[in-house]
Amino acid sequence: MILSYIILILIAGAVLAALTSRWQNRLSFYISILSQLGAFGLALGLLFSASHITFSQSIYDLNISWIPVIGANLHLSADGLSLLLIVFTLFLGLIGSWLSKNLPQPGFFHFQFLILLAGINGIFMAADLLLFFFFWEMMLVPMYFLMARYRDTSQSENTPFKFLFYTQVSGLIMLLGILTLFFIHGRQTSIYTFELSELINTTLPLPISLLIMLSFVLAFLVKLPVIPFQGWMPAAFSASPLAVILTGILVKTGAYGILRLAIPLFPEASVLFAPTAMALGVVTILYAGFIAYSSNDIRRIAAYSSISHTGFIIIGLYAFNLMSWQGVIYQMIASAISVGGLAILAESLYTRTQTYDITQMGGLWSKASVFSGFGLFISLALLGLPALANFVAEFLILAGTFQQSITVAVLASLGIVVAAAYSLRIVQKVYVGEYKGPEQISDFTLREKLIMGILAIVLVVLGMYSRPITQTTEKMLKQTLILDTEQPTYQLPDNAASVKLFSNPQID
Amino acid sequence: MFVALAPFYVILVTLLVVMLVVSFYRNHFLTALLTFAGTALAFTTLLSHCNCLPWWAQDMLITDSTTNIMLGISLLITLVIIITGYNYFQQIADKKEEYYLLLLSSLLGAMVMIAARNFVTFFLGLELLSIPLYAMVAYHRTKRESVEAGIKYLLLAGASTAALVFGLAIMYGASGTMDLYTFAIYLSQLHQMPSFVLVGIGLFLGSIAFKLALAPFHVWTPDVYQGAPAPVTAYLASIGKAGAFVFLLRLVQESNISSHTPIFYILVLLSIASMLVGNLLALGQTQVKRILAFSSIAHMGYLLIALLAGGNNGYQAGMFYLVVYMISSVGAFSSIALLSQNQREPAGVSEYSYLLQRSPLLGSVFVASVFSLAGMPLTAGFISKIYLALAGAGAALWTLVILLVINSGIGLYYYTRMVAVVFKTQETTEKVRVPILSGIAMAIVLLIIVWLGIAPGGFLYWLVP
Amino acid sequence: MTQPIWILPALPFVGFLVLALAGRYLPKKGIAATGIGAIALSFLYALYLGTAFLSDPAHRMEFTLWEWIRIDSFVPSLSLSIDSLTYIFILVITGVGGLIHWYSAEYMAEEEGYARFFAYMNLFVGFMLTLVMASNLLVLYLGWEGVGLCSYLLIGFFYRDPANNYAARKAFIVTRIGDTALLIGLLLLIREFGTLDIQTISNNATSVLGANTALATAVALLLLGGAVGKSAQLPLQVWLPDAMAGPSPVSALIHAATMVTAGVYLVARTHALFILSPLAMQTVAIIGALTLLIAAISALFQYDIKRVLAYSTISQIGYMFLALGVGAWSAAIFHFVIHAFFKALLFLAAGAVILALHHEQNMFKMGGLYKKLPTIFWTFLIGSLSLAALPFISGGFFSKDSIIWYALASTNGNILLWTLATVGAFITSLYTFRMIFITFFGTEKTHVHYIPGKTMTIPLIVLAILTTFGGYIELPHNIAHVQLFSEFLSASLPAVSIKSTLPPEGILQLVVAILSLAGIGLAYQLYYKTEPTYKTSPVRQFFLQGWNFDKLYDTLFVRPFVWVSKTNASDAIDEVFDYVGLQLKKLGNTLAMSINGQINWYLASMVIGFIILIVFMIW
Repeated sequence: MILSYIILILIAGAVLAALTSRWQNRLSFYISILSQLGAFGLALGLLFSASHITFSQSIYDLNISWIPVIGANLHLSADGLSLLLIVFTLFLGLIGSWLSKNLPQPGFFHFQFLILLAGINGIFMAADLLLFFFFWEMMLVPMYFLMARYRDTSQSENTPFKFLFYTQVSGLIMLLGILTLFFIHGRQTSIYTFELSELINTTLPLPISLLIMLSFVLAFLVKLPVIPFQGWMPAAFSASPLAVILTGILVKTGAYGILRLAIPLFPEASVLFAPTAMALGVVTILYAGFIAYSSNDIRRIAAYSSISHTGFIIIGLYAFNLMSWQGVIYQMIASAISVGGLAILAESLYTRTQTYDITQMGGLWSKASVFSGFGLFISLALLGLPALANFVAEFLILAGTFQQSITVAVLASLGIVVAAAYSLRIVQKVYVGEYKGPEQISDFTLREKLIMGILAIVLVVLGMYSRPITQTTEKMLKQTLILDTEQPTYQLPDNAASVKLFSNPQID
Repeated sequence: MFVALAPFYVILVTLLVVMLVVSFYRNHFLTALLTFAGTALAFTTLLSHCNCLPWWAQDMLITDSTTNIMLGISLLITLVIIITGYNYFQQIADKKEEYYLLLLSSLLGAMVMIAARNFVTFFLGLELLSIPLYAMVAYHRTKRESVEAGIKYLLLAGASTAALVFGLAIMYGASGTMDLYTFAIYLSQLHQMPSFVLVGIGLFLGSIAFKLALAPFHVWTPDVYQGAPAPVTAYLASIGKAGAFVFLLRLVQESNISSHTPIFYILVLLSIASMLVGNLLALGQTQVKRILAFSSIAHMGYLLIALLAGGNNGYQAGMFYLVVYMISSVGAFSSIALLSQNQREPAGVSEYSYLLQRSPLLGSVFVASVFSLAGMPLTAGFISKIYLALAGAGAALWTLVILLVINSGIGLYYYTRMVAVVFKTQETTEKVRVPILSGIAMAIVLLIIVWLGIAPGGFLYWLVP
Repeated sequence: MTQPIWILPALPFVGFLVLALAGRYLPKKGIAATGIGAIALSFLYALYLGTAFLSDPAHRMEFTLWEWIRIDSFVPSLSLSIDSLTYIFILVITGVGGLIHWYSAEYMAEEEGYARFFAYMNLFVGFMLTLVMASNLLVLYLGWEGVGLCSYLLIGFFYRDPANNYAARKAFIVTRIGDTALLIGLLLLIREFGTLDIQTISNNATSVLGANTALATAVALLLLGGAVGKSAQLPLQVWLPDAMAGPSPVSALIHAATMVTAGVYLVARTHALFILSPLAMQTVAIIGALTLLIAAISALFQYDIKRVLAYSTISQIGYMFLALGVGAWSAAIFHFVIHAFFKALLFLAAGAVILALHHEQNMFKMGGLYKKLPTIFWTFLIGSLSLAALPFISGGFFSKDSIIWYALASTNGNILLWTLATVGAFITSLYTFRMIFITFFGTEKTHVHYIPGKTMTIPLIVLAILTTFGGYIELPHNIAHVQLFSEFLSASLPAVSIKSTLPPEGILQLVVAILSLAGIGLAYQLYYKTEPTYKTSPVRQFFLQGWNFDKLYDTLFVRPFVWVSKTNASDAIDEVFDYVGLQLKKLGNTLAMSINGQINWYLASMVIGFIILIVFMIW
């Protein structure tokens, strides 16, 4: 039940915010903040108690019939992973809405924004495939509206379209996969249902399961996004107030989807798919890193660095061991915060200098030292400096991947060098050198200081103490892993050793 | 005893009453009011639904749940059209009242088509639907394109009707019956269809394809949609297609017609052609009504998937998709009607800029309807598309389903083009004032669209045969 | 016993935080006090620990803060430990570091960003201590990257000049390449050992990796990759000369005394892994030998005094690597200590000169300074003597001599290594005194307009004393039995194994001594007798550019990378999408021509439609 409250609170907040904005703009802001805080509190409360429960036997379930005709249920469930992501989503949401305090039409904004949050949280809770799909797609609409309304008009008309096209088409393909699974399971058991826990037991011939798995994974890869599906990401980054949320949340839904659906539902197929996925991941890391190095629009850099991070995610996911998976979850959060921070900087910079072009800037340090300090910090986070969360993420992913494939790990670690190259380039162009910008330029406002401060603290804390994340997700991940390793057949020859849980035979 | 026929009677009586009133005392408001009251009454009679037809009507009409649902939807939509059309026709200088006569008689035709269980009744209804429509399309007598559209529609529809009659004749000649079910049985007994029957069915399908504006019988759509007054377009796009499709659906459901390879493939062909042609044509358009016209072509293409899928899923998917499509297009066209001022409708996409700012309600309805047509989540169109895919996947029509996916991807381009401008804002915009009643009607449409998009369970439950 | 040894790194970190957050509100004195205070305190605490440390037979202290990560059995904790090796490093870092901070208080007084400077310096010391105290390779890596960051920040300290930032970026990225190798090494260790705890690894090295296996070699070489990156050895030495863009104290602390020797520390710390692979040991030795020679030769052709010192640093670290390669662990560490003293001294003195001449770094524009700046001159001279390894009166002699000796005497040593080292010694003294004569003798070319005050000179004097007498704690065997240093280290580092048959050590020492004197003599002839002038020629240019490694790497790696990146700046894949979209639209418009509004055409098309339909169905 409590899970449904989280969503209901958000939706109620959305409606209220929309209505109240008619006579009092500020009010809608406070309402939205309040409802988010409420949901945040609830989720946080559940989070730590959830570390030991599993998704299929969650205790907070809400399960009522939704579309009885086709046996789709409104079934919400949660375990450590989903709650962690929910909490984090809401955290980013608060940051995002705080940032957008001064946008025009706050009523509209907060309405869409809260609906968006509700949808995303729905994704993390859905225990019914059709419901998952519903939330998965529902999230696009408010996202699109916000983009269409707040995108910077210098960009071409069809930037929001691109986002919609990629996600929608891939989503519908996933729908086909879902339906096929639905029918196959139905004909096997003559129970027509979309229940995740039921569908997991479907017995599929490998080719079929491979096809269905691909239809799922496609949608997730697009959301992440992985090369060659990245087209919408840079475009979408021009929708200013959303960049944070974009990286913060879309990326996570993709990875979550793979972790929650693609791998558990189709273990064998996933193992077969692993080499391809890893190849994609490596390509993504380097390809995006290269572009990030030579682009001058700071938002574009943010976009591509985020894409490059997702390369690590995809590699880690298909390395099939606890270490890399913990790394993946770390990466989702770390990348979200750091790239989000970069996006925030981009906006603050724009409000001061009226440009996103880093070649037009320079020497900011002499004028706005706090600003530059945070800028430097974010760049360091991006290049994976130890003691910051990104390092833990990348390290765990690489370490886990190394168990699976040395080549991939080595190639991926080249990405770290590239990351250093592009993030230091930002520092070079923006903060140091001779000052170029307007005559007088204001340093961070208190709000900006606080927001960036919070982000920085989170990065450092998670960088030095991983318990909060690793502990809450451990159970779920192990479960999935075991599920995955119970398939002796169809495994790649060299997986045999590495698909099992991380452990070291020599010393114990 | 006569309850089952009550809606027909009520509409007929209303028609006569309105006719008399108009001929003695011209008053736009009164006419509209009477029409509205009549239609509303007809709707209420539906609620006490029983399946008891008088003996003489039994092999002419059929009043099952399908009929009742479609009648209900059609009547509701007509109500919306009447309300939203009122101000629109108020702008026309003289002779507003006949519009309602035409509307009512055409509606009666549509109802007959929906309920028809006999090719003759179907043909009757078709003509009763179409002939007033010619006049309705051309109702802007002072406007060149309106009249032109009317004439075009008249000529082409005439041609297709001719084909239909010929086709029916052949079919009768072959089967010796005009009754839907008997004919269906006749068909299902055939192993190998004689080619002249095929010709007959071909002509029949062709003319229905014309009504539904399936490619390659779609050419008339853009001109007529654009030329016709917005409320008429709304009517044409929604109710104008309901009857034909329902009848086809019945035929396919009853007979195993689509199991005959040639017919199956012809339907597939029509479907694919319509999807592609409709979407591709719409890509380059800049006129909202034209875009919607082309998109309707694509939608009819999608709808055929449900037809081909067959079975319960196919039936439900078809009905649901049709209903959603009707509501959405009414929403879209009615908001166009409400936006038009002194006889001028906003034509180009750019004229819809700032809409959300100018009128939050109309903006929302327009966006919701367009998104519903685009099959976006949170709108009815999304669920109906899911259902369509479900039917298709269930029947393993992979080619069609994948084409459906691709095409709805392409479709997004022009749909979003219409929507994107709506969100533009500027400092000062002149507000659009929406009359209370129209406002309520539109709000209801919006609610229905969203409600069906979130909790379609109840409605789908009715569709279980 | 568990001492709270975490205080050692904590103090500088606190100093950093204070300066970073409150620096802007503090007066200059306050800033200096905080910066110096933090280091001084941790130095004092280190001394205090020393008493406890020496009394402890195990010569080892541990302290675990908290679990950093926990993945099943893999639990790297933030755990620190001190053994004799670490302790020596701690003393050098905090001691020399403290002196340099002190010196900086005056040196940086006129510069903008006083607080920023001390903040970075404290941060550096903190990370450096973390590096050497880490009892877990992951924590070591943390410090490793941390010092890299500080080096980056401090090289680019004068941020207004883009050149400095290019130098900083270069330094960071070049070392990053090495670090990546190190990281991969760690990954390999995790796979093999399932842990990164240095003790565990060292204890089980033989059983897990096996002696002289490809695996062992791989591990060792990957670690070495990290080491050469940080310690500016071949092939990654290119960044250090440019790193001189930073303020002189930075060069003294980071690019001479401490950070650049992290590589030496790493190899010494993981000697258990290196010992397993003779090949790796050979590589280390050869890299060291080559580097020391190449760098020394380049030093001979520099005109910028700091670059001379930079190359000499590279070369001296080459000696250390040579020592490591031949298994003379303690000799390497000993040379590190002495080198830390005299090279810090030289840099600081050079800094004083530069300051005195108003940021003039070109030696050929100096001259005749020995009268003007006596203190600077004498301290500089003492440092140079040590660098040139003048027998008995300089610490450098003892440390370097033992390395050269082991290059031959050790079981891994051979005559080639010895020759290279000896030639290196000769060149070293040559370029050292070239520098002395050009800078301090001859006619005065630039006017001195600033005489360094006590704050700057006292650290110089202290270092000079350390340099001179530091050597006496470890004397060659054939002279006296004073080996305090190696005995102290024996707890953590194995003793060097000596060949059975050897030439008498005395003669070889004599050779080295004579050669270094000869170098001085030659320098006297070349640069004192005749007024030195700077000449250019292709050959000189080649050596001036440090054997053109920069050009080589530029064409091999940098340009291709930038080229690829630039050519695909607009993301080809994305453009394909747009292109397809455009084509579809065109197709649509072509189709739209069929809707031409001509009724006759419409009718025709319908008829065609019917015909198609029927033909299709019948046929």
